[in-house]
Amino acid sequence: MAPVLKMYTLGHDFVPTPLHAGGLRYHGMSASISALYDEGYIEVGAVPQLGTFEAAMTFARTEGIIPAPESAHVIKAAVDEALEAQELGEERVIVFNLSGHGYFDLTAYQEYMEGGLENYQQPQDEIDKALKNLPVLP
Amino acid sequence: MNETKYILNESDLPKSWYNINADIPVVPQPVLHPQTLGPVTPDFLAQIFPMSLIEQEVSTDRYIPIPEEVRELYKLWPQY
Repeated sequence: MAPVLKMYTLGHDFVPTPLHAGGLRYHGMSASISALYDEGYIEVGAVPQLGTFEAAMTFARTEGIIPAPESAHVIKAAVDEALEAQELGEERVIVFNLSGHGYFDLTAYQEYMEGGLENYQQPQDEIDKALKNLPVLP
Repeated sequence: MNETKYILNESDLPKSWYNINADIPVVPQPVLHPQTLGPVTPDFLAQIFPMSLIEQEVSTDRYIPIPEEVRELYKLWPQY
């Protein structure tokens, strides 16, 4: 049996939808990130996959680096931050971590460019169902 | 023409990993045993993980030296 770590989770019974978020489909979040969020040190956000791939394409065209779809989520968040700053006329220092390349994900890029991807929102009842099976821990 | 690419030499490969546990402002929660739900002992984790990884997991050192064997493997990585 595996050790138990305190983290935000959808429960180990959660079956993720096969989106192109790749490694982001794990049912939990790392213990360090969970603790930082829990104590209010960081904010978190979610971005849909179409906007994510759009940002990834922009990044590839301007920087010459094809980002991994997982990493592209944060590119999308960085783009949104920059656009918001532009709109508000603010100067912001925006740092993000490009955590991986997308050379193993070219099928996903092809699918996006052929219009085969769509945005997806996990239905609340499926989230509730997965959470129902969470064990109660002290 | 402006220079836009900076290619590092293999000798510039990092020599240490950064460990966020040295700077994180929250107290790390203990890893619990799945049956007793009490904090695990290194012996329990040793059934799953090599001892060097367990030491990294609990370390609060800011930098952890990357073993030379691992740095050798990093050299195989293409630069994207």
